[in-house]
Amino acid sequence: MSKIWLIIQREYWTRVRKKSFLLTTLLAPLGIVAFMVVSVLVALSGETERRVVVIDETGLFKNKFEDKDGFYFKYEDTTLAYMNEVYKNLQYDGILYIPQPKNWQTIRPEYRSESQLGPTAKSHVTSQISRVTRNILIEQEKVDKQALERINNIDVSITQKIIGEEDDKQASAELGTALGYALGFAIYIILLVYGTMVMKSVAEEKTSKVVEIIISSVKPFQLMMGKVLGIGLVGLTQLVIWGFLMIGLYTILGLVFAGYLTELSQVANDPAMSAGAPDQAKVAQFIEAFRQVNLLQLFGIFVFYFVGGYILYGSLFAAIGSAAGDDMDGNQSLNFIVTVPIIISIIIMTSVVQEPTSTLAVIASIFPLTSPVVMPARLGFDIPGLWWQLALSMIMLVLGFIFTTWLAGRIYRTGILMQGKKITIKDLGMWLRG
Amino acid sequence: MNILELDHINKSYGSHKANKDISFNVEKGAVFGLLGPNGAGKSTLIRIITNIIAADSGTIRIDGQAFKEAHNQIIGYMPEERGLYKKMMVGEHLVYLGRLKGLSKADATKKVKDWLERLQIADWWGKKIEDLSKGMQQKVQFIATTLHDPLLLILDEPFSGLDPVNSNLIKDEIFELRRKGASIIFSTHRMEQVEEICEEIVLINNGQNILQGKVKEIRQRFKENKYQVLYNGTHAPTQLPGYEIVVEKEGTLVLKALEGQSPNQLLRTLLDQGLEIHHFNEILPSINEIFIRQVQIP
Repeated sequence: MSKIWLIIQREYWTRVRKKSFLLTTLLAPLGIVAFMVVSVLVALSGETERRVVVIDETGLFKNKFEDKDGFYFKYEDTTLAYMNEVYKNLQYDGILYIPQPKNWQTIRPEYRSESQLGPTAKSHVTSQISRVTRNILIEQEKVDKQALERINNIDVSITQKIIGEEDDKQASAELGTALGYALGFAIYIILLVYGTMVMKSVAEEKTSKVVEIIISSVKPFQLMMGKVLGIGLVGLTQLVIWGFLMIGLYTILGLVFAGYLTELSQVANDPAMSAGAPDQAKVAQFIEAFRQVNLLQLFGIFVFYFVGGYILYGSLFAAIGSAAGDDMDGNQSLNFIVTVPIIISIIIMTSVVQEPTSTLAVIASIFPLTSPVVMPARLGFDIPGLWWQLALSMIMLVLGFIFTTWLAGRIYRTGILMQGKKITIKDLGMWLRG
Repeated sequence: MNILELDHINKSYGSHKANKDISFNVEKGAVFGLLGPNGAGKSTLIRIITNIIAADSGTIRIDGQAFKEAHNQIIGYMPEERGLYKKMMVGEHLVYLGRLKGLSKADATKKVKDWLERLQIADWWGKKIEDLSKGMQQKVQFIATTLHDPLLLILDEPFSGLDPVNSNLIKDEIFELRRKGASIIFSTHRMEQVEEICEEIVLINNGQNILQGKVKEIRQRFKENKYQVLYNGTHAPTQLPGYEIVVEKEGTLVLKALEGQSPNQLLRTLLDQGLEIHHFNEILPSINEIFIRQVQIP
């Protein structure tokens, strides 16, 4: 046992001390934040100012456009031909020409300028024109404007409540799906990234012949487990650091937007207010549901599936690494034996977040090869009977990784000593028996 | 007293028999040569001795006892194919390997320092393995093998990649370890080294033990009663009854004695013929010749 511990320590420290570890650990969350900041900045700075002159043949649009979204409107009573000549000298960026329509159902205005409008800017202008046209029609048809507004603003938002639970517990399908995707993908990425790391490291140890020296002191199984666990601890360390960074960011954002959040939750609980702003209400419900999630419990279960799934797949990756020849490319065909079930898991997961109570969801979240990705993806939903499924799934996962480490150990101890010849799946089977 | 006893060891990989019924003993304090052409089954046998793989049948006794985990600590094994972690520093790497052999951290650190000083490479402690030449890495590997003061040292091609100066340095250390009481199994296909270093050998071919014994005895056993004579004189001897002339060149004569002839008689005959003898010796076959002859027997 103390030898495994020595190996774990070496595997852990040589990786954690690397500059690249520090960089990826710190930069990954910063990268995500930077990505969000940049996309917000792009969205904000996307507006260019346009001064637009309106030539209106109907006479009904005068002074009706709002100056917003970067558009500033002026109205001139002149001909289009004349304005075409002088609009530049008058410092306009474009001409909006509204001809007399044949009927008020089809409006065909023209926007003339040196450069085309982008899709967003175009839709801004279009929506202004249709808003004004609607008002013109309301006048013409003598429709009760307020009645129409009420009809147009019907807001339907289903609140799901779980029967038998406390009344104030709100379920949010949107939250479930979002959380499910996030957790499932996180495990998927972790399995692939750290699994590949194990495989490469084993293959390197084999081709550099270090393994020949190490196994004169320790059993192959000890070396394999030491490596799998050591690299797993590196992953866990990274996860914990990211967790703290997230909590830090969450707290900072919470402080900055404290007022906004309170406002939102008031909106959620006040039907009169939420009627006016349907989107806001949905967001508020989402946030309210998120507040009710037991984050600590969620994190605990997530870590369990991370550890269990990682040991299960990590040991299989180690076995594949042990079969590596001198050229790493030849290893690809063996690699896929292990990556295929992970990829199948993610495919199942995307369907499970839509139907978290389906039979497929139940089976896939109990079967140990798929459960590490599929089960966490269901945690965001309130599912009847989830607890016994969770218990069964966890037991199966533990049995699963005991089995795969045993299996991998048998392949590994032969594989690491095989030199030269290209290894096939058939060979792996033979080592397993031998 | 034997440090190692092998009794009817068998090992197969699928249909390939890597070791067939191999038995031999290694005496305590001996320098023992394990010889054989490539693919003869030496490495498999060594892996069985070091408990890296298990034999299909047969028994191994180390220091009089059946193999147990603790034996790892009295064996020092330097494999033929050997590497080190490239990114680690010499000092920490050696300490790590020492600790894997059961030394405490403090103990391992002290021993590594002593060894580095003894080989006059104390300044290597903080060097990265990848910055060392192949020969330099060999030295580090040799230190790693001996760090825990093993009673049985198994060295597989220990001199490959070493220049003559460093070869001698390592050779001296091997003898020094032996003087301190270690037994050494030396596996190689470099026969001149065997004659120089080993007292006893076993020769393995096609997984089988085909020859075994003390180096001197074996050379005697395979001698062909050949003698070499260096002489001064213009005329070569013509009449040599009981001898067959193998080589005759200016001043050199190689003769093969037929049944029942002694070297003294030969010398007398040559002197009688008026030759001025400068040098006379019996030609014993080298281990290399014996090796090739034995391996080529169908």
